[in-house]
Amino acid sequence: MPPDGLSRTQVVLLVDDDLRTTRRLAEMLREDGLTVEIARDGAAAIARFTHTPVPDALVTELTTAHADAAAVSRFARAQRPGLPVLVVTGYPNLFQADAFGGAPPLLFTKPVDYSKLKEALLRALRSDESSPEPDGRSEISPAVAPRPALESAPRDAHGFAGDPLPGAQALRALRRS
Amino acid sequence: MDLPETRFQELKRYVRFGARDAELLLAFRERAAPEFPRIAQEFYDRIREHSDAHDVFTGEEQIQRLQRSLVLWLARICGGVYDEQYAEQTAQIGRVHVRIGLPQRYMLTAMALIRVSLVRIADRELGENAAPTREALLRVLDLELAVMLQTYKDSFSERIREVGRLESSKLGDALSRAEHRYINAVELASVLIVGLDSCGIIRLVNREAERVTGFDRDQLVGESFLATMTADEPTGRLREQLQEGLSGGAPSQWIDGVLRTRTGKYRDIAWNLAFAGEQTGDDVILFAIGRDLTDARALAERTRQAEKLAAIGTLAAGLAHEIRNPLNGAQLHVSFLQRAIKKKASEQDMLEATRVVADEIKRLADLVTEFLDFARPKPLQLKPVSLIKLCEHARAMVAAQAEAAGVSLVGDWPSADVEFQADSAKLTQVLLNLLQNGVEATGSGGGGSVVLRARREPRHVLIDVEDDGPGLPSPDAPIFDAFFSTKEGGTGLGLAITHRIVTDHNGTIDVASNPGKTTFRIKLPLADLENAP
Repeated sequence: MPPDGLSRTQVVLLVDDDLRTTRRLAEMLREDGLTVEIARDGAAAIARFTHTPVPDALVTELTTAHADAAAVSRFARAQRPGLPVLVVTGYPNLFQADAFGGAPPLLFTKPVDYSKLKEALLRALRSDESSPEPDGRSEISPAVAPRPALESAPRDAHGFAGDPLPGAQALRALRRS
Repeated sequence: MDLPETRFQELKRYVRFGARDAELLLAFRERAAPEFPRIAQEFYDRIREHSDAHDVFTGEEQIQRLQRSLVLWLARICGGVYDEQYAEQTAQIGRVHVRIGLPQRYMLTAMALIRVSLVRIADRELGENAAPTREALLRVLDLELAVMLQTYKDSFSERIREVGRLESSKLGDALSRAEHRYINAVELASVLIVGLDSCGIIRLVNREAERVTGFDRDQLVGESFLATMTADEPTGRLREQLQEGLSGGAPSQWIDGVLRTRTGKYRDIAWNLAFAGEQTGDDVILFAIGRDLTDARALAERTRQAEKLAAIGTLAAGLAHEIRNPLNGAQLHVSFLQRAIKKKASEQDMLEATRVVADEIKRLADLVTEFLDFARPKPLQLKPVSLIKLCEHARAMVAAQAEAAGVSLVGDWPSADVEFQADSAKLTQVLLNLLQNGVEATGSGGGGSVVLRARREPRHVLIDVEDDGPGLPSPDAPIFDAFFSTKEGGTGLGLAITHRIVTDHNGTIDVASNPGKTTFRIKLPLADLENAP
C-alpha cells in the first residue's frame, strides 16, 4: 500500500557502497510502503536509469565510485526531469548544489536520522507527484525490458569496486553526450 | 742674420739649381712656348690610354681645363723666378693631385713625358749649346717632383694621424663602455658584492649590499667584513673559509651566514667567496658574493605550511567520511531496533542489528587507533632483525586466513640469513598487511597464490609480496594515500601506514600491477639508519 499522500507505489533508488546499512535502510523504507532498489556505485546507478520503470527518487552518497552523485543526478534528470534527489554524505563540504542539473538536492549529513530522511523523501515524492507530468517522462526506453538494479556489482579484494559492464557502457554513453 | 734654410732652398741646393739655370729656362721659354699646347695635348692623350689614370677625372670639361692649366704650368716652370711662392704654387698643384686621387705612379711617369718633350725642343732649338738648358730643365722638373711628392707624403702622414686619432678615440670609447658595463653588472646585480683586501677589510660594496645592510658604502668601506657582514658571533665555517679565501684557496661552497642590518633586523645570507688573485694590481683580492635568502626562506616556509594544511585538510575530509559512515550504520540500526522492539520483531533480526551496531563501534575504535598510528606513530624501536625470522613469522600469521580462502602461500627466501637494523614489530605489520591484501585480492574462489619473496642485495634487502589476483584498477591510482580506498571493514589507512613504516626505515615501497600479477616491492637499506626518525 502506498504511503499517505501518494497515489501509487513509487520506486526509490539508493546509491551507497556501505551495503549492510543500505540494505537495512531499504528494508525500513519498504516497510513504510516504498519500492526500493540499491546500486552500490555511480555507474550501476546510471545503468539503472536506462531501464523502466525509471526510479521516482534518487537517494545517494555524494562520493560514489565510477561516477559521483552529481554525474548520476545529471544523467537521471536528463531521463526524468524534476527527479527528486537526496544526497547523504559523510563529508558535506564537497557538496556543490549547482552541479546536479536542475533543482538543488536535499543534503543530509551522516549519521542520518531515519525518520527525518523518510519524511523528506515522502515530501519530495508527494510534491513531485502533484506537479504536472514533465514532458518526455513517458518516452523513457519503452522498448527496454525492466531489469533489477545491480546490487552486488563485483568488487576486487583490494577494496576497489569492479566495473559492472552495463554501468560502464552507460557512462561512456554519458561522456559521448 | 741668415734666415734658416727652407725646404725648397735645401732642395735647390741639392740639385745644384742656381741663378744661371733660371736665366736659361727663361730664355728657353721664348723658344718653347708655342709648343706648350701641343705638349699638354699629348700629355692628356697619354692619360686617356690608362684607365686607372683616366678614372680620376670627372669628365672632358675638366680635362680641357686641366690642359689649359698645364700650359700655364709649363710657362711657370720656365718663368725664371723660383722663390718660396713658386714652391707654394707647386705644392698647391701637388695637393690637387692628392685630392683628386691621382696615383703617384702616374705623376712620376707623366713627368717623364714632359721631360722628354722639353728636352727634345731644347736639343732641336739649341743644338750643340743645348746641354746647360737641358740640365736646367731636368733640375727644375726634379724640383717639381720633389715638392709634389712631399705633398703626397704630407697627406699620407696626415691621414695616418687622422686614422690614429680615430682609432684611439674609438678605443677610448670602447674602454669606457666596457668599464661602464662592468660597473653596471656589479651595481645592478641582485646579489651582495663585497670586495675585500688581504686583511679582510671591505674595499668595495655594491648597491644591493647597501640595500640589504641598510648602511651606506662609506660606512662599510674600511670596516672588517666579519664584523659588519655577520651577526654577533660569525659562524666558524665562514671565518675559516674567509681565511682560506684570503690566502688564495679554492672557490668556496655557499656558506650560510646571518647579517644584522642597520635597523637591527637579521637577514639570512648565503656567501660565496671568490679569490681574484694578487697580480691584478688592485688591493681587492677577494670577492664575497652574498645571496639574501631571507624572503625565499620565509616563502618556502609559508608554502610548506600551506601544503601541510592542505594535506591535513584532505586527511580530515577522508577521516570525516570514514567516521560518519560507521556512525550512520550504527544510527540506522538503532532506529531499526527501536522500531523492531515496538513491533516485537524476531529476536534474530534484533540480534543481527545489535551486532551491526557493535561492529560499527569497533570500526570507529579501530579507525582512531590506526589513524593515530599513521598520523603520530611511535618512534621506531631499532634492533637487529633476522630477515628469515621476519618472513617466517609473517607467513605463519597469515597461514590460517590463506588456508580458509583456499590460497596457497609460498615462502621464498635465501638460505643464508641477513640481519639488519629495523623495527621488527612494525615490519611484521607491513608484511601482514600486504599478505592479507594479497590473499583477499586473489579472490574467495580459491586456487590463487601469494608469494612472499626476500632477497639480499649488496646494500639493501628486497621483500616482494606478489599475488595472482585481478590487479589494481588503475596503475596510477594513489593507493598509498590515506583513505584513497576502503575495503569492506577496513579503515582506508592500511597501505598509508605501510608506506609510512617503510619510509621511516629509509626504505621505499613500489607496486607493479597487471591482471594476474600484482607485486609490492619493499627495499630496505642494510645500514644507514642513523638518520631514521
